[in-house]
Amino acid sequence: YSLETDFGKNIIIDANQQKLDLKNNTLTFLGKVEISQGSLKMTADKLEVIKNESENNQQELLIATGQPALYTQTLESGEVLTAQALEIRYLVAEKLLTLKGEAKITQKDSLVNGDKIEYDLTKQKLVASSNKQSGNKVRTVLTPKSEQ
Amino acid sequence: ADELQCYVNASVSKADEPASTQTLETDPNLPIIIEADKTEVSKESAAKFIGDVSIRQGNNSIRANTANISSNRDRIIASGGIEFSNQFFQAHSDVLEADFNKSQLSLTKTKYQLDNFAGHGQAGVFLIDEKNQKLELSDATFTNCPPQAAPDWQLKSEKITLSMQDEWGEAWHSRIELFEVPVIYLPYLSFPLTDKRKSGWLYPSIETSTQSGLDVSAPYYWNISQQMDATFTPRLLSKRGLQLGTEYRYLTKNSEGEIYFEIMSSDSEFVADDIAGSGIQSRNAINWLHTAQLNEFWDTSVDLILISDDSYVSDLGFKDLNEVDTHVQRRVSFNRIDKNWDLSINLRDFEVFGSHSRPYRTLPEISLNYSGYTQPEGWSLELPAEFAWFHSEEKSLPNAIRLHTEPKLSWSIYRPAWELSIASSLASTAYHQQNITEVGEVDGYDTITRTLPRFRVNGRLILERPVDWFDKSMRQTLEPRFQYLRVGYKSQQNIGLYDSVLLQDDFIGLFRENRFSGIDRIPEANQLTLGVTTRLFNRFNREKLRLSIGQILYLKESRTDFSDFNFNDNEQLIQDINERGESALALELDLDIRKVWFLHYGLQFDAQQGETRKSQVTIDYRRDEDHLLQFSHRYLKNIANNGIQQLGLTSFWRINSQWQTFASFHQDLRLNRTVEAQAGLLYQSCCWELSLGWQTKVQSNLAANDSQTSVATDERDSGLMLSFTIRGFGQSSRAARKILNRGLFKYREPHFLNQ
Amino acid sequence: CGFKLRGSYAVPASMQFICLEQSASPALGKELTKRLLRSKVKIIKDKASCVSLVLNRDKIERPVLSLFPNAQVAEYELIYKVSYTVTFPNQEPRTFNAEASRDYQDNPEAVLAKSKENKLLQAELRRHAAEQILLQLASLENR
Repeated sequence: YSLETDFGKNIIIDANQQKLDLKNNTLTFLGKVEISQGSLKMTADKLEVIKNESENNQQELLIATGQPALYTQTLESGEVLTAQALEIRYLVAEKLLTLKGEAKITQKDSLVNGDKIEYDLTKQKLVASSNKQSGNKVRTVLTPKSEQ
Repeated sequence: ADELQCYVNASVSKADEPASTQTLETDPNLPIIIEADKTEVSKESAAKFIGDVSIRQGNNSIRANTANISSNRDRIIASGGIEFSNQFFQAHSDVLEADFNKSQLSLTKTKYQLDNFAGHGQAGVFLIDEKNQKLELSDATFTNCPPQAAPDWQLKSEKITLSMQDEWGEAWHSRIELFEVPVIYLPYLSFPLTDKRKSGWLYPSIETSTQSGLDVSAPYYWNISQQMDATFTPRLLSKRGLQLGTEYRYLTKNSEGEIYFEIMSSDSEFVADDIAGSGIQSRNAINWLHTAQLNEFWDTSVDLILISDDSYVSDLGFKDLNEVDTHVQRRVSFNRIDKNWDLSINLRDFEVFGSHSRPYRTLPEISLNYSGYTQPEGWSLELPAEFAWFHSEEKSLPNAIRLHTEPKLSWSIYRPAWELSIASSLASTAYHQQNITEVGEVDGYDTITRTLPRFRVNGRLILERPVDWFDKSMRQTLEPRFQYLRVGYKSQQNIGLYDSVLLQDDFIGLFRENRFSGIDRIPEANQLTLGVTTRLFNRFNREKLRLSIGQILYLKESRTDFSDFNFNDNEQLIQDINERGESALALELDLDIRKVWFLHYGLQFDAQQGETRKSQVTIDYRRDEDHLLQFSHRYLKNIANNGIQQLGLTSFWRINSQWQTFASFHQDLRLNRTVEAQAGLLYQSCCWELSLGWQTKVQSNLAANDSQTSVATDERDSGLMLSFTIRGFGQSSRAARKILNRGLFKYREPHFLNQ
Repeated sequence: CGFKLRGSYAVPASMQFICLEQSASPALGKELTKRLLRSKVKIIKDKASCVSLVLNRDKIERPVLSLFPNAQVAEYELIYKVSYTVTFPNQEPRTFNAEASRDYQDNPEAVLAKSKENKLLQAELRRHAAEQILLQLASLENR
């Protein structure tokens, strides 16, 4: 299960600058931030890693912002998933990805973009929605199976 | 002006290309673009799209409240406020299912509209089968009346299929409703969407006539395959019986053809001619048409007709044969056309209706023509050669073999303003024919040969000038023409007349090389033909006047005295020929006055005896396409021993955008009887047409023992014609003219150059 | 009286090169080719630099004009109709009609001879139609 193995690995982050805010348990990276965890890669202008001790288990949340922030990963079927948005939130434990602002996800034969996209990495389930005021819609482009 | 306002908010079809050339099939490689308020996609389960969904692929576009796409992407299910549209039609429904593997898409409880008003209606299931280019509608309605109001006519059927490729529709278990009242139940009905595949009268038609009573026929078209189709036409004639007409058409790589036959087991009005006395009343006819490219050089054509009795065509009609035709021709021919020569082998037989002498047949006739030699400039040598075996079953007509060749050397020169050609030829013919004994019987063969030199010079001059014609500046052309013909004398009284008959002397006829249709007679000639054609063109170069006058001047009386034929029993042929010995003058005038008044006048005048041999006048008043009158008068001194004097009136007059009248009337002034009269009304609404016509005409009685041409018939046939046509199924433009032209005399339009 | 010899051939200068497509009516094509060559027109194949002249399928109509006393046909009219399409380089194709007609008398006593006459008339009508096409081409430019 390469996906699983991805998550077993530790996360490597490098950036120009690092700031630690102990009070809010937030670690912030600035300037050409690159995150990698196995085949998972993210690039962004700013990354906040927030540790949350409240519940029993360790809850780590990554928030990457950029113009746009990018996210790529190789799925267990070998397909490459790429995503981008102005803000990408990644709940490491639940393996939940939330993209907000010009969000776009492309997989082998489909592309979805909208205002907000939630992607469950384990169930590979995606929910995209557009907020009413912006008036734009969720747009999906499916290229026919034949090219697989 | 009188156009019918049928479709108010006319939504013109979006596609610029005509819909018929585009295919219904969508290219599977085109991406599917889906927009929605919310989308859920996951690996195993279907992708869900919620809220104002729009799906587009190629020309197809779907709008819906919600839609799901199966995980393997080969099925779409959409529901709620469905709107489907492509370049052919739009459809509103509440559930849509698309299956990409079978490339089918079906909508339930649909209201659909075919593009450019071909039709609209409702359907329980509206299935689009892209692979077979077909629409299948189940428990559907179909009409092409304007959508705003309740439809004047409507088809309610269990199943309707519309084939885009064949532009053909079929309906099963249908009820036709007129003004929402069910009128007819039809187990099966086929109809054209355009007249591309099968033109012609394909709708049920009802006629009555005193001879046949009620005449109802309903053709059924069966589109077997791309290369074959068949049309079955059951026809009920109340006074005669039931008839089945079948037409089978086929097309192969290098041949095409058609077999048409009609069967009628018994015709109660038909009295089999007493000679046969068999009393059988079955009447059948079959026609086989076939053309084929045999190989790189040879092609063949076949046209064989077998008809059970002489008055078949005039009583029942047969294909596009005219019911007053005197004969039908059976022909098989093989042709080879090469660059410099061509060869044709013809077998020709005839079936003559009525008690006339049995015709000559050519079994075969072979003609070869070499015309390759054209160098140097202007010179040409032609070597036509012919072999013919004439045979007739008439006891008194001699059979004969004829061999003929006529090497012809000619020189011609063509310049912008004048042309000249000189030709000399040597006609040499050999007959091996039976001779006729005194008692009119034929016995042994003997041979006659004949060689005759022919010399011919003809030329013309082309002059032009600007001219004022009723203060309009016009261009006038003047083309004087001349022909000098010199042919030697040889007595030909012992040669039979096999394929030769005297030709008419109209303007072009005056400039012919031989005044007979065949070479059994080459009369001596020393004559000069002078003629002139003048035309007036307006500044748009449209021909406004055309006048041709010509006359033959006999420099020496022809010694081939036409009366020396010892053609014993056919007085009428001899008497016919005698009169043509003198000179003939021919005149043809055509005049167009402001495209409203048209005049045609044709005259053949015998200068020596000072009498008119033939004259015809036609005057047309044409206000526009829908308002026209035509007056015509024909006079003929003698044709096959009969005189002709006939008056004709034809009119088409539209009253308003829906009502039109048509009428035609032809009176025989010599026998003082109406040859044919027709009158009718045509009502056209947006989507249907009803025409009611009355007609009466003289009817030949060819089964009678004496039906010579000069024996006046006293039989007459008249009746009503009612025909209901659904408009839009294959446009029926000029409907009134089509209905009138089904009678004996057709409406003849004036024709001018660059009209 | 002001008449002058016609200055140029019937076919205008702009139609010196014609691509003639005559497969639909070969017999008419033969007559038209003869007349075009006489008017010093060159018939070529190269589509780019020629005026395209396409002959559509010709047809013969045979309406009845008058009847014998026994109600059989006495006179027919033979109407030869053909339409043809002319396309000047990078211009819209335009379709025209040529029509020639003669009346012709039937005689049930000499059917074979009459069918020979019919064949002769059709050949003459075809020549007449070929001349008409030439005359109509002549006036194409200012129409």
